[in-house]
Amino acid sequence: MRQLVTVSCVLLFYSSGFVQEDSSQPRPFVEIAEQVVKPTVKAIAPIDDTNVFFLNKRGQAGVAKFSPGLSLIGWELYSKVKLNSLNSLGVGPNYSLVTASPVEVTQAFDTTRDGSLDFFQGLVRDWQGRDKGVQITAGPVADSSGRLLFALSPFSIEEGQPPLARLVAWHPDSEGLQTLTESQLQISSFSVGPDRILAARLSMPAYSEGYYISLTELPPFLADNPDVVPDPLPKTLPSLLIPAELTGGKEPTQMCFFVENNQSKLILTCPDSNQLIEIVPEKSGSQWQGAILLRSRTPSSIESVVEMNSGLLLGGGPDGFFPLETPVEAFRIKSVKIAEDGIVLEFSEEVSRFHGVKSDSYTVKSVSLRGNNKILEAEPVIESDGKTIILKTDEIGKGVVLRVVCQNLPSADGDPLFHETVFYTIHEG
Amino acid sequence: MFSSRQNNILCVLSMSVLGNLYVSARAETSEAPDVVLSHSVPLILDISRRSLKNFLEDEAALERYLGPDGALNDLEDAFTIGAVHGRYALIWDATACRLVGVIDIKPPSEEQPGDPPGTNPDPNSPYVLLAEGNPPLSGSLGTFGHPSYFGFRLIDGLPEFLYTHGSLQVEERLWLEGDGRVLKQRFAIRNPENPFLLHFPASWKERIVKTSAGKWNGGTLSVPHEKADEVIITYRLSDQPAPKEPN
Repeated sequence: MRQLVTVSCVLLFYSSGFVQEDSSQPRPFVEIAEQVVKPTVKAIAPIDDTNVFFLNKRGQAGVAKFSPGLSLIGWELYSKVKLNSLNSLGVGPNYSLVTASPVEVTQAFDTTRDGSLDFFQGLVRDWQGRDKGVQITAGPVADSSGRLLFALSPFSIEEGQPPLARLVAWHPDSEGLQTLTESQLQISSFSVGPDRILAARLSMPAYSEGYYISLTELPPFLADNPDVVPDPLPKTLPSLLIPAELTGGKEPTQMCFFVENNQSKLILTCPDSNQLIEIVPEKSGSQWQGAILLRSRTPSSIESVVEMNSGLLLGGGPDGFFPLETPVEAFRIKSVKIAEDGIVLEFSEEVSRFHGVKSDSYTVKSVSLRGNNKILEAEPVIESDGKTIILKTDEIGKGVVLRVVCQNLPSADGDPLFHETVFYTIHEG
Repeated sequence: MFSSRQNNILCVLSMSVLGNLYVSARAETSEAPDVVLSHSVPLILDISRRSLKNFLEDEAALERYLGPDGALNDLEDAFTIGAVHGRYALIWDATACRLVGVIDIKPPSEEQPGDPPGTNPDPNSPYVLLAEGNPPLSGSLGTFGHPSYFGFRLIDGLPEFLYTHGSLQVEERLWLEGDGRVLKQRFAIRNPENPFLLHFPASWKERIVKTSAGKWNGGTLSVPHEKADEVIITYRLSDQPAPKEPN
């Protein structure tokens, strides 16, 4: 069985004069063959509802086709060249692909329209500090305004200044790279969500208790003045702490925004523990905070997750692609929110009222960022829907990570909780 | 403990036991391996980009890799190119925009059937060719500053590197023939306005068996303006007699 992916015909022109392509001939199809062997997947970029580009572990680009339910139909390599790519893949105009190594952003084209990449342009090879060893640490990610975003390792612009990591943007109309955010911590992966929200994983190797995520609003892109420097420059500060106990002690690597039940969420992969973490960001004043939950355990390691145009999540790893269905079968905590009178827990099914009304079914711990930890007394109240519990507590305070454990709370049908611990980060505001 | 040289060799070997890598890469596709055995046609190449420890030794060739503090930088994102089951790997680097080395990926003591003993002049060196001096086009009219990498493309599966050196737009293509024992290097200048010069170290000149155009003056090949759109240099990588080219 062979399936076809339609690839439209377009005009490419490189002002350098090295390559010129016209659109006078129709573009052929990329042929997708059914394969016995599963591809290894380290990065995915959706094309539409059912087709994706991907990078395999050797750095080769491929294209894969799926059914509407995301069952793999077939795949082919789009290039046999093994690029030294980071775990990110962007789709450029005309089905070109954008990858980055630590020293180059590369855009690859299929100029001969035979379904195989044949032209690889070194798009960005120079930036401040490049001669002093500054390298690309994450990206590239294409944003909605046509920019390519990538992160650079920390460096000082002037002698004596502290070294700062930077998220920068490249745009064909800009004279140079535009700095979008600065950070004391190196960015190891990032994703851009709706309304220009940047989620960045901040690297802090010496800290083993958890993993920091920054949520920052990116400055807008001004098409008529693409070189304007944002003032003040946003700082990529730690917003959320993902406790190591939630990730199985393994580092979250890649992340992806997605929408579920009309709510924007973030999903993170922990390939070394086969766990997926869900973050529900909430803005409080000028800062971002939110709930952190274990979303699911996967049967195989997942390196990369993307939201397809259809809204479904597709994961990929060393054992191929996996549709990541919403985990509806398990009795689980769906969300945690902070209300004036306490902590609101929403469950996927009705809880056991017998256990749910007991205070000793819950442990609420407030972990202060200043080291002042305390156990909060919690008085549970079950809402009329049977799926929502309000834990009325003393004043929670600011600048804390709440750890809520529902240690003895089965569903009304007697099913145990999929995972009994959730976290919530509250800033000082 | 391994010496730096040994580490370099191991690095290249571990990343580029090209035949094996190629076979395993092919296992991911549905196609059968399309190995070409002819002695006079380009071989199917495996192309990968990897960072390698800097193995250059010549002071002038190393200059491009010195940081502001004098520290020597690695060969970052260098191209490693080899043929299926081939013995030689080509290393082309985008920082210096040049072929920086050709490596014999079999241990020097492991002579191939048909090889006369002492194929490599330095039995401890895996490098058949090692860059020396300034980039080959330095000294040509229109060149100034450092070469600047633009990208690469595949022409019938062969890598062609595109870069500028001063005002010259250069296309440099590399491929292997003759069971991987013959290296061909094609230079082309786009819209040439002048003749150009190609400089080769003495150790490279010794292995050049043919040029498609130009006149030699010591280690310098002078290519006339009318031939500047293509000159092909043929190197003998092993001391085994090179296969004859078809007429």
